[in-house]
Amino acid sequence: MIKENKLAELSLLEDHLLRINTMKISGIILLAGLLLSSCKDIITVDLKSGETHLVVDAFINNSGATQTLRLTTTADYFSNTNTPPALGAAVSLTDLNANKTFTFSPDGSGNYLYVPQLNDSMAQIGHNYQLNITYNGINYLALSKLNRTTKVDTIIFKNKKGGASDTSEKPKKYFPYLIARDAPGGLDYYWIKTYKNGNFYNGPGELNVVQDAGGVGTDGIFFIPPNAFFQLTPGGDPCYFLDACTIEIYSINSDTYDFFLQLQTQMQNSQAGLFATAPENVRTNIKNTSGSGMKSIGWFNMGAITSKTVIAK
Amino acid sequence: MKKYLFTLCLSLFSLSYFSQNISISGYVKDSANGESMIGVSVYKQGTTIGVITNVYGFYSLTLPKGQNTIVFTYIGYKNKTVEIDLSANTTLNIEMPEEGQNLNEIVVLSEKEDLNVKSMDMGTIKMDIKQISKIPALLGEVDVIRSIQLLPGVTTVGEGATGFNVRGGNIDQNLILLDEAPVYNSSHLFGFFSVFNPDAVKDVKLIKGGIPAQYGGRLSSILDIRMKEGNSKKLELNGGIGTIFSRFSIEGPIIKDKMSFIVAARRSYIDVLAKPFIKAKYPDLANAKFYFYDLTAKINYRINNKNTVFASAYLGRDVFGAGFGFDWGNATTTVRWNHIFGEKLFLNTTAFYSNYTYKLSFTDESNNQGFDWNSKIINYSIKPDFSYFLNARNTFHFGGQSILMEFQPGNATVTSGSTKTNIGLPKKFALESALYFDEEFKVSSRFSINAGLRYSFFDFMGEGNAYTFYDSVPNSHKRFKDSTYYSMFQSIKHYGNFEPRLSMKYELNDESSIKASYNRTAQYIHIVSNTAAATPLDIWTPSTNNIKPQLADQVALGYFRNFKNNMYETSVEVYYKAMQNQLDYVDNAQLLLNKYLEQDLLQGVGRAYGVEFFVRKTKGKLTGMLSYTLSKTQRKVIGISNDQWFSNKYDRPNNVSLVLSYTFNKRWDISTNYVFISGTPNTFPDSRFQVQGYTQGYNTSGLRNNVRNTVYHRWDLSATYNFKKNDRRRWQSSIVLSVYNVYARRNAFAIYFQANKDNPIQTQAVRYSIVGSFIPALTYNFKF
Repeated sequence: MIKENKLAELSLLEDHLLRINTMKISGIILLAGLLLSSCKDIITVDLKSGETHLVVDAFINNSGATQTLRLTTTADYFSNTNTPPALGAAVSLTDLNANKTFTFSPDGSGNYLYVPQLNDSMAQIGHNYQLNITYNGINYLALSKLNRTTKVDTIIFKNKKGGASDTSEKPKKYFPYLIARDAPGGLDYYWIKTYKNGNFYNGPGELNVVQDAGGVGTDGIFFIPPNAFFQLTPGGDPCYFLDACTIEIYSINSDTYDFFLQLQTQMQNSQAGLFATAPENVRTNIKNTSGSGMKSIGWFNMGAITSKTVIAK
Repeated sequence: MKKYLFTLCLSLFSLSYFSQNISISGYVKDSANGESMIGVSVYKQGTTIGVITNVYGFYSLTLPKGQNTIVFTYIGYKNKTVEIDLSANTTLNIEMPEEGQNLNEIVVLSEKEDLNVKSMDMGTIKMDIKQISKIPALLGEVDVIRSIQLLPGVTTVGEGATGFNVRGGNIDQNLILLDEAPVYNSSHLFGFFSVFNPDAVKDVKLIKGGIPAQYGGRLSSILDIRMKEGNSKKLELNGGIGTIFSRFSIEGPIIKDKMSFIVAARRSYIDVLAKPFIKAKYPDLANAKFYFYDLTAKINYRINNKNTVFASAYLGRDVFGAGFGFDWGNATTTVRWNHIFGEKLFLNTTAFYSNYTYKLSFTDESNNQGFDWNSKIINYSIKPDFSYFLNARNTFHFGGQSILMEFQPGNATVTSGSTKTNIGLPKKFALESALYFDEEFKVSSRFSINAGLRYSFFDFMGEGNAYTFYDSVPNSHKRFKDSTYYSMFQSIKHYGNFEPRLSMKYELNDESSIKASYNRTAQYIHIVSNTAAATPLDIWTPSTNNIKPQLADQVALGYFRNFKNNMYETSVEVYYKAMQNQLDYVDNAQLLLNKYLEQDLLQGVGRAYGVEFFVRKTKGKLTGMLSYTLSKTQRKVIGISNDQWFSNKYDRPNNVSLVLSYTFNKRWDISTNYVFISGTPNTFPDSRFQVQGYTQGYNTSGLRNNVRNTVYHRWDLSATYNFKKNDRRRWQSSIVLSVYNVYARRNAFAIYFQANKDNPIQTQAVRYSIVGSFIPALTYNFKF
């Protein structure tokens, strides 16, 4: 039984590998495209307005720093500004194992904050958590287990292309390579987040989630490419000489892993061209428990975090 | 039903007593090249007693004893009249000469003139290779499948998409037969070119409705492609140099009039031409492999009047690569034996092997990583098919088929350093069989009926594991419950279906008829694909204990009329098709290398209906066809689109196509076609949301395919110049200039919604056009 499950998980991993390589496959589509002068252009489309949904963006960690959870509402697709904040909600987090509740306070801009007190054990590995939100009299709930993570040993740089000198017109590009080992035993899922000078690389192609160290049969070993090696969204900016590069390993659970894969597929849909996946609504784990009123979307994950910063040189 | 069968058997025996009548039978061939002629009308002069030659050119006719005058007619050929004194059963083989090259007599479709009105066929369109080759083609490549797409009731999800959709059916619902062996992927370079070499194709028939009992295994259509037998009179070379392919074929007699062969090959060479350009612009792709080829061969041997054997083979592959490998292809082999028992019973036994293999691999040498994946579907089949020509009013067809299927959903290995991990999936096995029987009965000179029954049965079988799953909330993964092991050939799940087939024709007068048909079809294997266009990597799955066979019931009614002495053929047909167990997918389904694939599949019901108008002119200097289809195809799947009916991705309500060819003189021909098709349905977001800095669209209505992409229209042109034929030499050649998408319209294959790469707050709609400009091409063809 355990073996069967493991195989199912393995197949998920391979699928992930295939997705990463759709970029390469699009190479031949490109070749075919050259032949037929295929093209992409931006056009104007009239879209209807949708119903407004509450959007929960709740990724909480055990770093001990101030935890921020953001509540917004959906907006018109072409509104081209940040979506409006959802103000006046009551937000709390319950540790179902320790039976303790932590209340988040609004900052008036849609963010809800909790400042952990010393030794208040707000985020414990292995515990189950429940997020409780009341907004406009409607109750919302989400569940997440806080899984273990693993330590970032170090970061090395692989410089792909670039000039001989660090300061030439075509400066050397530094691509971080993560040296870390998957926690042995069990199935672990991680979100590997890369930052340059404190700015998170948030390109859709830079979204890096992984099961164990990089797929089937990678339990307990060092992270392997493509997950270990920073994948820059084409046209994005890599690290240059003396940039501070940070890699964070944030633990997620298998549902969050699926959520990110789906989000990534949907965000990069147009790149697959002929073989794009049909547009889908990205899943949510937020439930409206009142049974009526505004619907909810978004995601809640409790995770453990480790990180390291290295200067590119 | 039992009663009906009993009556039929009884009539078979009782009718055989009327044997003062004498049978005359034989083959009809083209006198120039010895190719057997399909659909030649053979009748007793001055009567309506007659038959049509079958796909092997065979006829059998029962006539009264004594003096008879028999006429053989075929459009574009000189009528042949034979006076014969019949005293005993007789074999009469006929060769028919083509009519002289009178310009006003140009004919592109070789079949009996009034077949549109007089035959039982409905929902059926036959296209001769001569007609197909007149249609302006993408990059000048004459193409069977792309020509089919111009017919009424046929759509695709877009340019370059693999396959085609018939009367609202999915692409896997077409049985594509090349000399009776199924071809699983009919496309080169995704869907841009089809795998059939036009130099080796003799004729193409698409059956959309009123499907005869001898065909089965797919819901929506049969595309029956017959290869040439090869010139049995003299050696002939054909070839062409095009923008994409170079073609070459050779055919000729091995033993004159007894044994002949044809070998035809094509290879693309765009890789060779594009290399310098790619090297300069895309150095990453400098070593890219990028070609496709196919090889077709056939040999036939007429042992004697009673026995003929045929062997044909096809091999085609697409090969792509650039730091990764990506290739796919079909291989088929067919062996057939025609045998005639007495004068009235014709047997064709077909045995075939069909193999569709596809591969994907990547290697990352610097990091010593690799991934290799391949998948296959293999069929072995035997199919005896009998035709019993009882008399001029009754013909019976009966037979059976058995197909052993082997599915390899994925052999896969991951290499990391020195370790190789096999993550492949086990093979799956199935056996699909059928028995069928039908009778063509001419009730009166005006009214005919063709009634039949097919019983198909299917076993999903070992060796392998069968899985069960827990029920889940609709549109979510079903959780694994249990697994049971089955040994080799042990049935895991058995399905059986009766498939009644019925067609009727009533001739109102010599120029018009009304036809009606009903058919039930069952399909036991399914393509698993949730992308916009099917990819060559999509896997096929058998029906299992969790996946039920697809079923369809179709009714159709048509009015057929010819004008101006059969110069114009017209028809109007309406159809309604109800489909069960249509495959769909849960959101974010994992379809590749998923051992528990079934946990991500859903099944729902489908419906399709429409009206098709068709006009065709096959004679004269101006030939062509015009069609208009108004149709709808939808499905309903619990868990998707709020459990409401939604449009299939290939639903294109309005579809107009016009093809015209004009022959100026012996040198010049021009052709044009124009298509106007409603856009494909799409799911557009109506809102946006933000999570973790990512902006993503959201469709709060939850309705799938709720909006339509922009209308597709396109105009193509081609001109052919035939070089002067040298009387002393056999060399003939022509040059074809074609322009595809003349007014360079950027038709949307799809419209995507995405965040701007540089400013994710900014969202935009992106139109993706497969063909962004007009595409000219030049092709040189020769014949020796």
